[in-house]
Order: sequence, then structure tokens, then C-alpha cells
Amino acid sequence: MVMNLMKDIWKVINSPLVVISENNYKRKLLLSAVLVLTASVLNGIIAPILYYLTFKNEFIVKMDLLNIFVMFIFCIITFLTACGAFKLTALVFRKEVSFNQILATWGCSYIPTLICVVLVSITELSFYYFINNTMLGVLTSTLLIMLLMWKAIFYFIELNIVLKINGTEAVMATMIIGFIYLIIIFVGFRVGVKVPLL
Amino acid sequence: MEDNQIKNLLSSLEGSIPPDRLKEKMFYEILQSDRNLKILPLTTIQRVFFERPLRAACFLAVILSGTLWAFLGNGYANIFSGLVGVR
Repeated sequence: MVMNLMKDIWKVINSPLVVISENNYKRKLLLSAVLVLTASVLNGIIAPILYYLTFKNEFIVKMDLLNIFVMFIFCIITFLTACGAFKLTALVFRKEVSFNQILATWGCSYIPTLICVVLVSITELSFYYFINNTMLGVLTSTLLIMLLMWKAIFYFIELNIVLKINGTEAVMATMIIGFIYLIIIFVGFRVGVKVPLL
Repeated sequence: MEDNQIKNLLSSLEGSIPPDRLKEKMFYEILQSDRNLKILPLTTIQRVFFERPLRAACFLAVILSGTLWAFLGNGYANIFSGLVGVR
């Protein structure tokens, strides 16, 4: 099972269209669930704990277990809300896509998100190395831009291939989804989530 | 798969004696493949970005990063890491 998951992840990285167009819902849903849960655990639980353990002797940092739990739950709610935004757009433009189908395919876009969470955590925990080091800074920035682009491509795959929304409709859909995303990002920052898991 | 294509496929099998349940198997495969998510024909730009998204993202990131570095100088390096460094 683990080997199959690894193969699927490799397929999503290399040729996501093949995975997205596959008929096997259960397998895609499992892959999505694994990716979203891993990203949520890393972003909501492991990153704050590592931050506390690293800086507890240097700065005044507190470990708020309730807040960590809220962040973890919020990460999962964010994913469901993002899928809900796609479903809402599909309803607005009268496209026949089930919520399960969106859940199964949008989860694939969590590979760049997962890498972004790891990268941000590493940068945050070892930011002493990044200050006044131009090469590391440029490298990190380039990687972050690459991950952002990768995620954006996944977004357009979801919009064009899964929802079958193109052209002017895509612009309007992006406005609807973008508005919902902005609300999620704002609430996420209030909760304390560093990387919005959209 | 179009109706004509299915007809042609079946008529091509009529001449020979098919192995047991071959037609049923082929029908099942056709129906299964039809249930997959239908991908409309992609434009050239879509093909470039959707078929190999990681490669396209790397290409764009290197160009964008290089341009930003050229314009902003060393300050560019501190934009993202500066944002990340403060919780």
C-alpha cells in the first residue's frame, strides 16, 4: 500500500493529468487524504513544536497546545473550504462535478504545499543562516516562487480539466475562488497558521 | 469511444473465432475507459504547463527569480526569508 502511494505521488509529480483522469476514486481519495493530513500535521503540529523547542531558551516563546490543536483542525477545514469553493464555482457555472471528485483531485495539489511547509519550517528554524547570506536567500526565494507556480498550475488543471471552466468563465471563477481564499488566508493568519494550506 | 469505432472493432472480430469472453472483456474495457474523466483536447500552452507542471514551474521560477534579482539586487534575497524569519 505504501509502495502504491509512493508510486502515485511520483505520478502526480511527473504527469498529474494521468492520475487526475483515472477512474479509481478510492485510490485518488486515499492519496489526497494522506497528502492533506501530512501537510496539516507538519504545518499545524510539528512546525510549532519544533519552533518552541528550538527557541525556548533564546526568546520568550510559549507552547499553546490548544492553539496547536486549533491550527491542525483549521488546516483540514481550509482544504475542505477550498474544495467547497471549487464546488460553488461549479454550481455557479452549472458544471457537473461531484464534491468527491474535487476532493480526490485537489488533494493532489498538496505536494507543492507540503514541500512549501517543509521549506518554510527549515527557513524559520535556521533563519540565522539566511540573514546576510545572499545565495541562500536567492535559492529559497527561487524555490518558493517555483512552488507557487507549481501550485498555480495545479489550480488551472483543476479549473480547466476537472471543472471544465475555460476563458472568461475561468476569470470569473478565479474571482469567486480568490475571494474565498483571501478570507481563509486572513482567518489562517489570525489563528497562527504560517503557510495557508489552500 | 465513438459508436462507429465500436462497430468497426466488433466487425473486425467477426471473421475469426474469438477466445472465450473476449468480446465481453473488450466491451468492459471500453465502458471502463469511457467512465474516466474526459479530457478535452488541450491547447499548446495547456499542454506545456499541464503535462509537465514541475518542469514548467522550474522554468518560470528561474526566469522570474533572475529578473527580480536583476532589478532588486541583494534586497531580493531578503524579501522571502525576511517574511519567513519572524513569527
